[in-house]
Amino acid sequence: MICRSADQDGVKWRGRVLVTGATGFIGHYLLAELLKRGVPCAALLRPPLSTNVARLASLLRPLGISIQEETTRWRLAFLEGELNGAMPGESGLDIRSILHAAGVTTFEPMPNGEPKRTNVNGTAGLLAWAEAHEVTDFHLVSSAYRCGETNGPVLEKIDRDPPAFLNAYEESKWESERLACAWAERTGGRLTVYRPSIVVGDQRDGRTTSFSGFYVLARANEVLSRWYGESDAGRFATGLRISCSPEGRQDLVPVDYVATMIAHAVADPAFHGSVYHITHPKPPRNATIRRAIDEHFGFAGSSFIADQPIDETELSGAERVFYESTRVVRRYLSHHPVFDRTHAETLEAASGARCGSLDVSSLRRLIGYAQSVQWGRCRAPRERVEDDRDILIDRYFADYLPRHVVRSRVAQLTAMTTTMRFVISDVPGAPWVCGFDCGKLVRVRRTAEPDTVDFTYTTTRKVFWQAIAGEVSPQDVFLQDMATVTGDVEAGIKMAVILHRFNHEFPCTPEDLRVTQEAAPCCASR
Amino acid sequence: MLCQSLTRERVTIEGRERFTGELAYDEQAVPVASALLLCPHPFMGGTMENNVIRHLAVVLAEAGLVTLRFDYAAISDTDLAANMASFWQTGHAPHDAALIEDARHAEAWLKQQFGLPEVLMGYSFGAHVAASLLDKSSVAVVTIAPTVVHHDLTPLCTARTPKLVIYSNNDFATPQLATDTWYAGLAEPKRKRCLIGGDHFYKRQETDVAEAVTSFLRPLLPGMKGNVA
Repeated sequence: MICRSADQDGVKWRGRVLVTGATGFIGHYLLAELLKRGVPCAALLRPPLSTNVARLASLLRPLGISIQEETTRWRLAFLEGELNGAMPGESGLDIRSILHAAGVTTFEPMPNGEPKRTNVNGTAGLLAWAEAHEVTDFHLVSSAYRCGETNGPVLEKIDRDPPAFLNAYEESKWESERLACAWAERTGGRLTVYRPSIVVGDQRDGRTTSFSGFYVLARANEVLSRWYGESDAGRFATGLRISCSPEGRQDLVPVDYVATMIAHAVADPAFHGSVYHITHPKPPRNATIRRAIDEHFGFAGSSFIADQPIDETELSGAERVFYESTRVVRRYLSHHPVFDRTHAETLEAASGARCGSLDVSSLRRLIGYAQSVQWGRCRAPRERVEDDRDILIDRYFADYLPRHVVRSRVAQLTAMTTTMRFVISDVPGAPWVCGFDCGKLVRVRRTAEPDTVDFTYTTTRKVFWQAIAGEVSPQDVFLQDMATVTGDVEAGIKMAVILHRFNHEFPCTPEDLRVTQEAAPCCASR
Repeated sequence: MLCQSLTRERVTIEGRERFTGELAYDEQAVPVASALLLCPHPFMGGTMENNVIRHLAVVLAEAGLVTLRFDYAAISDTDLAANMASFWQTGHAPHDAALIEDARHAEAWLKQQFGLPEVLMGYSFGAHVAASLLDKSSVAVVTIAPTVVHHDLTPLCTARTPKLVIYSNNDFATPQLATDTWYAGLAEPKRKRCLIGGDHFYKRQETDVAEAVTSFLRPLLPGMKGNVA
């Protein structure tokens, strides 16, 4: 396992935690929390690494984590690999622990083999990798609902006998625990299991990147709201019958609380080797959730009908909309296992984690955030923004670079003569070719034609923007696989340092390019 | 084996300019030697956070050495562009001599603090720095990807200090043929290790580099952890 020692300079760590699922909802919160505690981590990311590093950077940024800073301080490294494909070989990263947070939350079996493919087969692959690399400390993020249809108290221990399951997801999580347990018994490794309940957004601002579970229920009400229309008086007398008890509780738990609890346990060996129910100490009642939804969407008139089956042939129009939209999660409304929290409470006391009350206003905050990001379906507007920025990349090469190179002290003194190609792999279109002669930029072309160049840089759109803003160092760019250089590598590396210096002289952001759009003529080619 | 008592300590060293470094050592062990780790040229992106340098610092500290890695002192803004220009054109910068001076200060500081037998380890341009520092007080010298084509490594040729040369078969700065030729001219005792499939950066080969270094040092430093008594 990773270990730490303390002296007057603070805590010092040995070894790294390999984090899987780092670009997932729980995973990126966990990674951020570990990094905030100074725990050295390595994130296992799917290929292409540069793209997923950029994605991870954008996920961590709102949590106050700068990938640039973390990699510079060597607290964060990246490994390219896939749980169901090629896993990395010897990394040299001193991996001592694994935090397995990767998983899919698809409830029903899919044609591609999910959720078993990732949750079971992927876990098996990772355990084999741990064994081959002599990693003896394994932390598994499971699910409280691997308890299946159990309604009585669920203990914080590994069960040998499978319960009846509500869906394939629950079974896959139960099976992953069984595999991990077998690994621990076979290898003598230490297994720690975390079982979050239904994870929802950050209790501070509602931020989430996952819209399953609670959000399916909430979103069904948005669908219902559209069905009614704003002026329809029927929305105040929906007559919606909800088949569950108002006193039943939904075990929703905020992601930041989950991350704090798990990160604390990972970082402190005293908490290893146990099972923890990372659940809400006092989950919200169905009645509270109903009230939050009614207030948020402007509904009234629904009622709970506990223990009474609903004849689906007699549903009202509103009920048909609601039940159709909530089909995948409906069974959880009347399923209320009670999770033992003995271990979790000890961990909570030690970690200082606080799980706030999920009252009406905090539930509405969760729904409000999800709506603000269109339930995670902002892809179209985001792509439009990126397209806009891609045009600015053109402007950088055609206008900004020529105008500033003539003013650059480093360009003048370096007097470099070289030709280079920039390939930005996720920007459609041809690469850019820049020719320097005695420090003067004499040629900028965007061309797919073969061109004689000394070297080629290949990177992603996001790394490009970071680079021209002077935010990433050349050493990080190449050693962290954020970019590659081919051709005359020596010249390419030297030039990267010069360009970095130039980027410090004239840092450039998309805003700078928008501002200068009308101030200078655009020169497509020189 | 896990080393639970490894300590890393940020240090500030006074030289021509003040610069920073990091010591690593096992606080529960009696150190057998010190290792001064010399990183690549800053104009090639070299810092003490370099993957190879950083990994060696930890592995050797675990093995019972006190390791010191450091960042060369920053060059003034006034001189920076001119030095970069020279480096771009010739692979050398007027400032290179100042970097060697920084290393001398680091070496002196390490000797003053611990008074231990010293191992010099230079990576890329750092190999040139190690060659410049080499004297009879060094018990061994390790060069990793020595820039045999670009820099003067003459002091290594005649020195009787045990030498290890680590290089790869696909390195733009340390061509294999040129390195083999240069190695042939080195005085004994010497050893070499060519890492197949690597390049100048040893990305994901840090463990291989460290293994080569510790294997080389074990016979020279009998007190190293892991040695059979």
